[in-house]
Amino acid sequence: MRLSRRALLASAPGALLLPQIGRAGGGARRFLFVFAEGGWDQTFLFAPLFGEPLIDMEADAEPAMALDIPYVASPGRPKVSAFLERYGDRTCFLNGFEARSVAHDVCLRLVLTGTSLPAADDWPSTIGALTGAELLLPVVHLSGPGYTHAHGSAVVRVGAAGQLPELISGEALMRSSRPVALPPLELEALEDALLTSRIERAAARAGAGRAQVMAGRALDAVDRMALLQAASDEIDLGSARNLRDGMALLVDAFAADLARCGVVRHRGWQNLGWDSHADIAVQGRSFEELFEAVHATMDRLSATPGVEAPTLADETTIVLMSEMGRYPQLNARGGKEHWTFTSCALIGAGVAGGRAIGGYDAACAGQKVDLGSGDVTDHGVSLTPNHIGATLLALAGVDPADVLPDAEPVHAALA
Amino acid sequence: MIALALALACAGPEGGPAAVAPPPPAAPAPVRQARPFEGLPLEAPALLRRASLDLRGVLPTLDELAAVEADPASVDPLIASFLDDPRYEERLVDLFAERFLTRGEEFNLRWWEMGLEAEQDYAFRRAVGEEPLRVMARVAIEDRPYTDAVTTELTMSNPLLRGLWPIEAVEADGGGGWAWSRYTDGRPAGGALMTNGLWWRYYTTPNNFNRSRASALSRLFLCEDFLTRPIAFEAVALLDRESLNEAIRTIPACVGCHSTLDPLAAALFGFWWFDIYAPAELNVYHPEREHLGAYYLEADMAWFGAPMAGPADLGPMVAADPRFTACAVEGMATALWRRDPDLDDFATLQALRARFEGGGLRHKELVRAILGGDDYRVGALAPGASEAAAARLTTARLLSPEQLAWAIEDLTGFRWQTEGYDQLTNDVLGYRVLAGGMDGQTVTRAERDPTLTQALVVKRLAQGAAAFAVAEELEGGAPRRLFGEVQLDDRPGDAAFDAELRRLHRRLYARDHDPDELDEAAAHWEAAAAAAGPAAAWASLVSVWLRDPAFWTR
Repeated sequence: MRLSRRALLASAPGALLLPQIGRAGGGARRFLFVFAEGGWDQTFLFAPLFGEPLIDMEADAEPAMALDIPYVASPGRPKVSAFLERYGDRTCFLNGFEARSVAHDVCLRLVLTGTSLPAADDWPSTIGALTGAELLLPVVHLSGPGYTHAHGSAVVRVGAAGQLPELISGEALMRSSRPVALPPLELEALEDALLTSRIERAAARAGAGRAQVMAGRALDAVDRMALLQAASDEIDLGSARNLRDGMALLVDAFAADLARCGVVRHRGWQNLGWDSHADIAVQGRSFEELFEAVHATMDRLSATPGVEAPTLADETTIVLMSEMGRYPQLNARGGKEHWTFTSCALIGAGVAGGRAIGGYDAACAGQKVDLGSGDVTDHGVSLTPNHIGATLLALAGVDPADVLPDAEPVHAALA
Repeated sequence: MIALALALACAGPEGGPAAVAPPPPAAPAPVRQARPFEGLPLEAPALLRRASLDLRGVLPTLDELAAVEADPASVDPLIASFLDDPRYEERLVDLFAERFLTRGEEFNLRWWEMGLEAEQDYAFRRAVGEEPLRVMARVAIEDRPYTDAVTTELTMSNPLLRGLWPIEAVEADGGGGWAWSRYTDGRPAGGALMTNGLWWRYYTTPNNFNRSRASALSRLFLCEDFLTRPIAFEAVALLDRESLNEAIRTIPACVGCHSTLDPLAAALFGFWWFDIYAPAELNVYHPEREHLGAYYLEADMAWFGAPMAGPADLGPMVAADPRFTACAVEGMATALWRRDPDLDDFATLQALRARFEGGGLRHKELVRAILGGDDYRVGALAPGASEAAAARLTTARLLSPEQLAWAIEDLTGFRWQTEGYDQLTNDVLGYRVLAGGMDGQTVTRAERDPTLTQALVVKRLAQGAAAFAVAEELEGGAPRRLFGEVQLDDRPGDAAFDAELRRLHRRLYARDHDPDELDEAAAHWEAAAAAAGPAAAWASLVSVWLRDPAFWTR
């Protein structure tokens, strides 16, 4: 009888090391990052600046409240309102933080790492490495920006086209221009055993330093690879065809206690992107699609048993971000250019819901905030990406001072 | 790196005119360390292997290894000869891509908007992103002063680009179809600074007025990042252009950056597009728009305080700025050391810069100096080395996806391709980022450590390459490339079999085998042959050896 891949790998010599990694047994919070790539328009949701002469608001939009969250409602976005009515008590908007640039690539890095320098890890990588290193997939990166420096080994990239599963299965070679037949599973197991032996010998031979570190990480990768092949029977990492699927996949990874963080990007309605230099109305459709997926995800989290808490919703924080906002006035093509001030949303576990922190002035600039109370005040501080990062680290149970010595969390956002 | 960049940036009077480069020293200064070096150098064969992979992208041949084993002193001239190898140009393009990040996969225009066929998509993206990189690389390999990279009136193009943009070749096509070329749309000389490829990657938007481009120019060519300036930032959000320009001129927190940023941005209006998605706008330079910066930014063109008459002054200004030289040194050291320089490297970088300037700013001289230094050659820690040194010194270095692709192809003839895409150099269908590489936009730094997905990519690559080589050479009778004299009916214990193992081991790892290694390999071969036959056994063994970190590090 032919052994299943999973059974065979579990019996392979490399499997002797398997207990070192795998499932964590719960504990730390999980984070599902959704990145609206291209720059969302804050005036479609976060910034109800109606009546301000300098601001171009949607024609049919109107101000609305969900608990203490002021937001922009529109007849064309019932799903956004439905979400806030259902989950507003678990939602906190952080408004008016400044990316400090209006170039996509620079803003992406700034809002996700707090710095423009390349030698930095983004928030998911940092959280995943510091709180989920023992998991098989500390960070599942489905798509979107991902910056690593010291914590690259914690990040498992799936590939924008879902390439990882085809690598796991070997399909990647079988559909190449020179198709290659894979070795039988029994032979692959022997190969992994020989490889492990060679790396262990090399690790012992290497003195302290990078060579030894790399050998150790190579060994870890071999072990994880075997586990990932086994786990692929449980979870299809290539199943994310759209945002909703991607978020569902990440929930499954959380439910199986395989991952600490997940990252997925949203490219806007119909994949038209959030970078609306023309036809700003697409923003409304994109927000609608985004919140439909977030609503479904919250429902799914609420219906899924947690690893320790009653439900996964009690253990998971959803983070909605975009790299920038949009200029408050329409251009000649009915679109809006880039804007350095923007917002993000925290939803779920650990979040002081039902409120918005910060805000925008009449020119759509971010207002200063008292980090403790969350109130807008001239004596507060201007929110930056580092405040967002520190808040996320605090939510993850990591002392922000260990990672961002100069940044303080937005305490008011923490439950 | 921040502190270093600031130190270099603050070397001259703030806001003053571009300083004139200091005169080169009378004689090249030796490259030396600021404090005792805590590493030990690689032995000659391992050094040869590292340099060959870095400069040619391939493993050294067995003959080259034998030569340096017989005479370790021969390693230096041999490595020096790699700088004249045709493959060095391609490697330079790869290394420059890590810094300049132009090999992205998302430009404002797609293949269909350019009138291309779908199967040209990969080649199109690749060509656009490589244009500025190839200008710099060609200047380097021709041993011209590196300042030519930002002053030459020429660009580099291949037939695809010449079909899209107003470019004509001025020489016969070189390798891969790339040739020195000239734009015919009236743009001024400026080397990489005047390429479409650079500004397609670093585009600007209608209310940014080239400021992001100016910032990118400073970051890429001067290693001065405006965004790292420690300013007391009080945001202003003035929506009309005139008010914003006034604030930028008068609010101290703004003036600090914008007094230099805006005049620099003003020099880039030849690349100003009224429609950022229109081929007619993006494909050509617009000489008639060169002075629009005076209107939009209310600033005259200037290079850090030194007035410019027009964009034609930009290249010479960059070339004359001492930060350009320092940045070229820092960039190349980063690329070849495989780590970020820090303050402890200051003296070393200064010495490298002196060698570079003393050598007439020839890039090869800079590379030779880096290759000869301790930081490049380090292979182990010295006894008693500090923990800081253990963390800092790159005694082992991961091969990039590009190096892997080159080395495997040279070794086995196998190039992993699917639907016309080179699978290790793209992310549309391929595995560049999963293999530890970068896409230049959402992943902007190559991994320095192995990862789970890197191990998976290497596994499949190794399986593909090993199976290919066995099918071609051992079963198909093709000329031997990976294998020596071994035949499929040779068995462990046969002289030809055992010799093949020793030969392969040396070829892949540039070192002799440990006592147990060949026995272990032979035992694996026996077990694999019993399960699947001798051809599969060879494929299996070779694939394991290719997956060994000793192969994919250097």
